Amino acid sequence: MKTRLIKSLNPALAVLLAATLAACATKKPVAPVQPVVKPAETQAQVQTPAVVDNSNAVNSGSASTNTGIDADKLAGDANAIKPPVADSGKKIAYETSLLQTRTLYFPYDGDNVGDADFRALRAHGAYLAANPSARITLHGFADERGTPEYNVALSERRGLSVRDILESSGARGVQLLVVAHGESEPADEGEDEMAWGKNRRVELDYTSAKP
Amino acid sequence: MNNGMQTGRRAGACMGALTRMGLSMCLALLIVVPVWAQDLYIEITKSASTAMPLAVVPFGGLVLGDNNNMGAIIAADLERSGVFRLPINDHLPAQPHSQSDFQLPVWKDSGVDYVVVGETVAAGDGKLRVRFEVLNAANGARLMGQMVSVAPASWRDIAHYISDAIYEQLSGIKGAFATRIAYVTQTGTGKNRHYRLNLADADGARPVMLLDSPKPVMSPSWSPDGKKIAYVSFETGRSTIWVQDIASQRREQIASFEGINSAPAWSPDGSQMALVLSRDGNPEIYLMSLADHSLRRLTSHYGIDTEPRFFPDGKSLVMTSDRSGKPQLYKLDIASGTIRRLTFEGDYNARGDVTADGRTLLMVNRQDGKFRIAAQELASGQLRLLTDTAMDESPSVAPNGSMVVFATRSGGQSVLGVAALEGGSRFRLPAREGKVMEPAWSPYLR
Repeated sequence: MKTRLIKSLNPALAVLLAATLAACATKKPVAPVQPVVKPAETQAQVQTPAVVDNSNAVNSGSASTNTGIDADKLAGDANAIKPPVADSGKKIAYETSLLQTRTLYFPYDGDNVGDADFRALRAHGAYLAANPSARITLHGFADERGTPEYNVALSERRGLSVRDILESSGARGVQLLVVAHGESEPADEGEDEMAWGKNRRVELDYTSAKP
Repeated sequence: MNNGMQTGRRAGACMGALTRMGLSMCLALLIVVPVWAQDLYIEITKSASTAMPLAVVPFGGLVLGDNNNMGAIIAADLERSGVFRLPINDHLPAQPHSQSDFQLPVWKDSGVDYVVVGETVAAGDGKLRVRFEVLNAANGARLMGQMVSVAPASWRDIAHYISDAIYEQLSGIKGAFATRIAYVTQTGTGKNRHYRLNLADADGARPVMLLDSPKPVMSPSWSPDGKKIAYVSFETGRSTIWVQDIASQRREQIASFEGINSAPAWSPDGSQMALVLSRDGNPEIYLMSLADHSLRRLTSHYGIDTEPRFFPDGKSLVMTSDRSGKPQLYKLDIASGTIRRLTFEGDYNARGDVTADGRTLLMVNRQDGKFRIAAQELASGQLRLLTDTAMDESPSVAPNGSMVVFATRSGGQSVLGVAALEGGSRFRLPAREGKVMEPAWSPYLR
């Protein structure tokens, strides 16, 4: 088979990235999209898991009177300057372990937060309420299926779901920033359901006063 | 070291089969393998069975650049269009360069309808003179012919000009071979990801880098005069919209509001930019006047409204909205604000792009979980699928409405695909390294 040569030319020299500009416009409170949390329901949810689910939590056989997270504290005691002090060291261990959850995962095409993630968010909300100087950025992501721009919007919706839960758990709006990334920067570059599941996420990124 | 690209073709057996057995489908594989650092290369994956058989004889006279031939560029253009079917070079019965050395008996049974011949010579004024002729293989008559004069550095532009002229003469459609495609490449993984916004000729040649960034770049959009590109950059950590002048590389940030700033789309008269902002709580479509950056909000629904693209008359936009539950395409009349749904097939339709004649709507359509490029005739509502892959996105139609470029996955790679709207012809543009995505076809540039 005869072959012929066609020249291809080198690409022109790269354009170096210009110095970054200050990005943010002045922040003003943005009205949340339809709320996903019903406050009455969630308080009931919170009480029992604190005792039952976590092996580090209060031992059901113990004499401790703490059978759950103090709901008043959760509602956002603005005067608190420290996280709630527990009678039992085990309760702090429980909250700390919830605060270790920094990535939440989502169903395909959806922005619902699952129960376990919800509990983690309540703990983060309480922490933010107790630490007014804390700031957190919620990075929203989508998996690669579907169009990139719609996925940017979908990933923002996930970030906003998380933000709403944090706000109703005591965080103040000024502490929360949602950044939508769409399908870019996947956690897993694979092309199967497992990988996609890991990419549909919101990452909690404390930018100050990290717990 | 080889200076240039190799062209190999393995279509000979297939062509023979077509003519002898009348097979309705034929797979032709054209691999253009880059040796120099070209971003994209071409793999034809499917040729039209109804294509017109035509031969392009390598042009006589000067060898251009590094061992290049005008005829080779023209042959590649015409084959990619899907309108023509070309034999491989060693099946050319002769190599004439003009009508005067065309020998009819040699060509009568060649199986081609037309033969393109030509020659490149140096003129006294430092320019090149390129002469080409299209001859009827049955009787040797000249269908068309021209002589063009060009600066030597622009020989590729002249090759594409000639392809346009031949294509127009034989198909009746204006050629789009002298256009360009903007696209984003991504290399590296994890924290080492690197993104570049590039422009290349529609055949992947002569890539030029516009932006080099450690953060994602998306949604390039050409200005109607072809001189600027708008795009979304995450260089500050979140989405912001920029406009960059191609010649000077100067850039300006036009939107950096709270929330999402994305999906820029130029109006046909170049004076406005449709874009998506979520500053008011959820993604809505706005029009920005480019003169003073003033904003006008066009949608107000709690759902997601995004991916605006103007209709060619500039009076309405196609947009993606999930106001009915899942993403579908809608037409928004700018003056009245009326919104009318356009798509009803499949559970997801997004990223609409309208052809220049206003008659066809390209989109990403999902059925059975597969995302494919589809074309809908706006008058009848009839939808047809153009691809048979499953992860297609970002369709962008050529200015002559004949081809659509899109992003897809093939063999585990993220590549660009190009499909003919009339069906029957496709090729791929994989990157030499990394992923390619977010293509945008330029307007006419001459």
